Amino acid sequence: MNNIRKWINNANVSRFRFWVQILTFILFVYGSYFLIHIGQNLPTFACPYNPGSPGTCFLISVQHQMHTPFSSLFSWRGLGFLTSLGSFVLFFVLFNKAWCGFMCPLGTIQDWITKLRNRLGIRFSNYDERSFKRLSWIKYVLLVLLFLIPLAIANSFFGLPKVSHNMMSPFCQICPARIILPLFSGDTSQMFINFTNTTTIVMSSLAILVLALFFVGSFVKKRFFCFFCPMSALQYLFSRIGILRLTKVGDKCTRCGNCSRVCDMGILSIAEDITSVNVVTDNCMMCFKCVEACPEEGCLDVKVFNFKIFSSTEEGFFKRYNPDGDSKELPPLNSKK
Amino acid sequence: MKNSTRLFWYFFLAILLASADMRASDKPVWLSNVPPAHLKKSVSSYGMHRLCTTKRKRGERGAIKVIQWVREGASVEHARYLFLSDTAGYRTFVFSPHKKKVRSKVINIKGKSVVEYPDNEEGYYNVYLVMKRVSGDTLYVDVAKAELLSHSCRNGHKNVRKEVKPKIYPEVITFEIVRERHLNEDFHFFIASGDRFTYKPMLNGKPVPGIPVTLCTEKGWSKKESTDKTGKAEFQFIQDYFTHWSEMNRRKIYYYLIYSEFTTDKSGKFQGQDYRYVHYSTSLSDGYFPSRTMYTSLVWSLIVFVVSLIVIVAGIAIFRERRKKPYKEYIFDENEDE
Repeated sequence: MNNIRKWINNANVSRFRFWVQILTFILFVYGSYFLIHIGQNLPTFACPYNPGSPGTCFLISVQHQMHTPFSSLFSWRGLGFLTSLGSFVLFFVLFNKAWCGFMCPLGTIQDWITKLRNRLGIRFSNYDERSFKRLSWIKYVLLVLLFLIPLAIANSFFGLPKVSHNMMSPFCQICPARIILPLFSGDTSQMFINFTNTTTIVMSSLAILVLALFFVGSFVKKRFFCFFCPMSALQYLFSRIGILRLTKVGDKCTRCGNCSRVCDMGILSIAEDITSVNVVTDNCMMCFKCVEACPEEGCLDVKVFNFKIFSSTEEGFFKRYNPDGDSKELPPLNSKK
Repeated sequence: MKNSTRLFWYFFLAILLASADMRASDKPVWLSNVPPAHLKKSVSSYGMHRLCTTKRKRGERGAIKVIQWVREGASVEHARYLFLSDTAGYRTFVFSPHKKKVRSKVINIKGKSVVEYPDNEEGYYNVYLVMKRVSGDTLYVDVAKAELLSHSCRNGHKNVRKEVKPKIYPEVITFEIVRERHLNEDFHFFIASGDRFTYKPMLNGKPVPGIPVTLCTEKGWSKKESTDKTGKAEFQFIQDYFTHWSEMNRRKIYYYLIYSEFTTDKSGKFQGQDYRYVHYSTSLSDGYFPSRTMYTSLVWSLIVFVVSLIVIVAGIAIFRERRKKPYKEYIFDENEDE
């Protein structure tokens, strides 16, 4: 048992993650061609606009279900929404925010763009602490709008006129996954400007602008879009009940800063916070790079319930970051690569 | 003189009515999802495909009652709404997506007849109105058919590929038109103007080669084809054109009608009347959306994409350039404090 644990703790989780990402990318982008149907309300971008998608992202279900008059929503029909939410939570509880780090096809594409940027030798950017805190709010604003706009299509708020039907599924209208994932199935039909009326022109142009931002942003900032992703915000609301956990023993932390330097999302609190046990924040995608880069014995742990499945160890750290070996190099303090 | 004039006009009117009746018998009878303009407020609609339903009272429970209006005439826009009397000799058949017979009936709403059935399953309902009558030495068999896709996303999307397959019922429906499905069809599928489809008239479950099939759209376009050796007729819907943007409504469902008829030598007896020929006629109606190419543009999206890319990249380059600090050399004199 100790040998197995030692082997896991010394393993290269990033390489494991790379292969899991490829497999899940194939599953979520081409699954339906293999007659796989995972289900609706998935906590990741399994985009139904993609003909190969084996399931449906929960965000589109929510937007559909919120497009209901209050009288229906607060009746038996409301059970439909609760069932969807329950199914989302059941999927989510299993892997917690590792859905983002290991399974999200849009996240995987961003990681591939980062690898391409590395090859091209272009430096990346990081947000300063102030911008980081301010920008973190955007995903919550998008999440609230995603609920409110469909509600305002079916209901009148404070006697105001109802919102136009052209705003249906507002987040899907601007989500880059709607355009990018079908492209992998050879479907270009989602790449369009809709000239029906002013609202559709604005929304479809905004979608193309977000798409351009996605590509350029991912080139200069690791996991650029994840920072604004309302799915990430929604997941964080249920993160505490996830059975997969990332915990920290503050007493063992020397605040060397390795963990925050390797973090693709640029989360500083993981290095600075020595009081919290649960270190999963709203921006965390549970890629476990921090655990790999921590040289302190048992300082960071990945647990299923309270059972440790992967821990930071000195031996594992040196094995992964041994400068004499063929393993990777830890970025220096002022690294931009 | 007065009496003879009156007689002439009676005679003339009788001829006119007789000819109108004869012409009416040539017109296809079909099932329409569109209520008459003056009854629009008396009915409601259900699901993604906006099936016409009876209005439910507040708090009313149970299955939704879908209704299809009985119409006559080849013009989709102007075909008249029929009133079927009890003596008209009709039967209705409705089959659920799981091939179960559903209880259906003809009811009259303010003098217009509709076929009504309860809708409580996801998938295609096959609705038929069968009318038989003998006129002269011919038995007329008219089958009006509608394939109605019932779907609400709230009910899920299970077994989509299986549920959208066409189903026929030769044991009760002798003659009907079947639309062959596209590979990408699901519960959200809508025909769009400009699409190409294959239709197959089936007599007793077998395709009929060499008979005429006519397709008419709400915008007034119609085309007549003959079925080929395999009994299929292919139509490419004409792409509807809208002169002004204000006419273009991508959410508006337009309707089309397709019908086919032929006569065959077959003698027999129907309701005590002998016949030597059987005239089969069938119709199918469905909705379609305007073509996406009428209101979406890939080229414009590429232009917006490229311009956005250039602006964003230039913005980042300028931002990075402005944050560059000029090289400064600091020389520390170690003896300065002394």
